[in-house]
Amino acid sequence: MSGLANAKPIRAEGLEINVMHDGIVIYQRSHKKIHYLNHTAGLVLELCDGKHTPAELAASVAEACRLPKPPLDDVFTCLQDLLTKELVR
Amino acid sequence: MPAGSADQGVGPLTRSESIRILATRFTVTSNKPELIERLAYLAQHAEQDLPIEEDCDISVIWENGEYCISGGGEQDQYELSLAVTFSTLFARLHEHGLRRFSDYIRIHAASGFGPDGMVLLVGEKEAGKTTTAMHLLLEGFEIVGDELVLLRHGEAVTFPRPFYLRHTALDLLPKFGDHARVAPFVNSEIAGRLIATDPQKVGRPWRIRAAPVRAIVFLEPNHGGASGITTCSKVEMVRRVLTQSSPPSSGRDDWVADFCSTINQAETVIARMGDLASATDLFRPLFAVRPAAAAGSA
Repeated sequence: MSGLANAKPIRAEGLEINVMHDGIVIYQRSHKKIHYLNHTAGLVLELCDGKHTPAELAASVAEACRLPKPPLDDVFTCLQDLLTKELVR
Repeated sequence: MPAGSADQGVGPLTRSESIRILATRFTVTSNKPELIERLAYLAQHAEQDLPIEEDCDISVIWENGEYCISGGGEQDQYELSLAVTFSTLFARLHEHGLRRFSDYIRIHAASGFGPDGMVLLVGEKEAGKTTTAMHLLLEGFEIVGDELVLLRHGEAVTFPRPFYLRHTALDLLPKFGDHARVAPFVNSEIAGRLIATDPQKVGRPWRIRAAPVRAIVFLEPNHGGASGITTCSKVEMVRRVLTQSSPPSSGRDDWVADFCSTINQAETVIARMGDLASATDLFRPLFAVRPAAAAGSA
């Protein structure tokens, strides 16, 4: 987590993002892989523009989802998952 | 090919059979009457509303102890036995017929028509797709396929072929009755005897046409239990149906978006398939029921 704290993650290139009624289906053409995300993880991915730290992303998620405080731990977990899937770098 | 050439011991090309597969109309000609008879026996005769885009001549010539399959712009193929020749010919016709649909996603599914579009019955191997499809057909639903559906831009078309019902499933389908005794069949090493059923032979319409997908049902076996239907999330249905699908052979790169959009717009349910009788009412809202056509009518 500490390595991520100051990172400014950016979405991988060439992702096809399909918004479903109840989640997100992402097609990673370069790897011919399909990933399934819930809407919150999809929001984090969308916010990863290479300009914001995890703390800033968490603040944006809190604002978008009207949460009482930024879900920093959840955003870290989500980012770790997105990194593992190579959806962000 | 010197057809009828006496010095080579080849008989005249006296028999032919016409077969329609989607947008292609094949004329198969052979000097081996048994082959044409078997083709007429097993080939489907569904009505097909798609425009014919190609006429294709295929010949199967028995000569010098081997069968030569030629035509359709492909390399000649040679086989030694009638059974293998027939299988090779069938595969060639199907592959050729599918070639014009290379932009389509292939979904392993049974299919039928509801009031405003197509209903797909998807499931893993031995989930009961054909048995369920046959049951619904015999109950008066418009079912048009038990095996393969082609999908592009939200519209589906069923690949025309007879329904291949396992002989062991006959006990579950009492309404199939005497038809099973006279229907064509093939023997499969894996599945045993498979009865080839033409819906028209049991008094049902069989009309292949393209239509939007209005509902997708994922079948789960619940042998010995009751049948039930529950709503399935779109993402979960994408995950499930993808396991039963193949991307377009053309390499069209927007196929996942097409697939997701189709599922997003369709009603998506999971059917736990126990006894078939109780399943009928569960499926009724998904399908339009048409009056039965006269037996044997087209």
